[in-house]
Amino acid sequence: MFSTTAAQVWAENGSAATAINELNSIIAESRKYGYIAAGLEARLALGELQMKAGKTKDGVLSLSALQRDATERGYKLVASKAKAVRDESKREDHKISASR
Amino acid sequence: MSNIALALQDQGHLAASRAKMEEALAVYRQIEAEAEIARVLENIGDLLLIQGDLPGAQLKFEEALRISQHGNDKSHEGYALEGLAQVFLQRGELNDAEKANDAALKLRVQIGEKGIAAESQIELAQVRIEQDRYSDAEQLARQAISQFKNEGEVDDQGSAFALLAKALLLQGKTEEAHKAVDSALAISKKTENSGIRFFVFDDGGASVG
Repeated sequence: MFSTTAAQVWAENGSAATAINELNSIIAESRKYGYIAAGLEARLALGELQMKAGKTKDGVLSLSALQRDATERGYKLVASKAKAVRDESKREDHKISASR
Repeated sequence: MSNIALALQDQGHLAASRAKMEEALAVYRQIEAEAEIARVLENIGDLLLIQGDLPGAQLKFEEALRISQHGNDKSHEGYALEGLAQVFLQRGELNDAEKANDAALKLRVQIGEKGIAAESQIELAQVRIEQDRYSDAEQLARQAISQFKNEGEVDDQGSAFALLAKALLLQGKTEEAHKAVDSALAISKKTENSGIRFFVFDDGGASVG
């Protein structure tokens, strides 16, 4: 759904907070009206942005829940992306800890 | 009846739309109108994709494909293949998604459905993005936009611009991605289709340039 892409473009433009708010709004609307596939996509974009914005705890929680939900529904592409983003963050954390 | 169902879907009333489609399907099955059965099955498949029911969507598209192939109805065969490609893509089965999209594109070109063939280009562009072939995805999206403009397909142009924005963003072409998003948002304001409009921000945030 293209407003998810729009939010990602805004985030690249330095408006990460606005993009996160907008993605939360998309997710709420998709739940309300039953647009499940679009909601999964928006949740993935949200998790990625949370990670990029340094909200690691929120991001990990979002992505873990997304991975579970997407797997249950058979959306393996979204599930694998959610896992990849979360695992990447863990690797980064590990590198930072090791360098201290 | 199935037109009412599509209108309901465009307005975001998915459950009501599904009920109307099932009614239409029952009638068409009763009178054995095969082309109509295939069409409604494809519409239900699309709706199930939106609602996140991949196994349900796959069953509908597979039945539509069988019926279309049996009746040598190339147009509906193309739609059914496109629907299956979307199911495969969401499952991460990229090779199958590519094969189904290629088959749909060939069929559509073969029978001269240029506008519909552009839909296949958009679907293929999505697969290219997942294959990390962003430049190819950009090229396919641009070709599709041009074709949709020629055909006057407003909703499809919106989707194509959105995909173009994604392909551009992934190549680091942020400025161009902004422009593509602006184009998609401008188009979304012209359409009655909530599938396009549904998630568009109306708080002025669209201005990203």
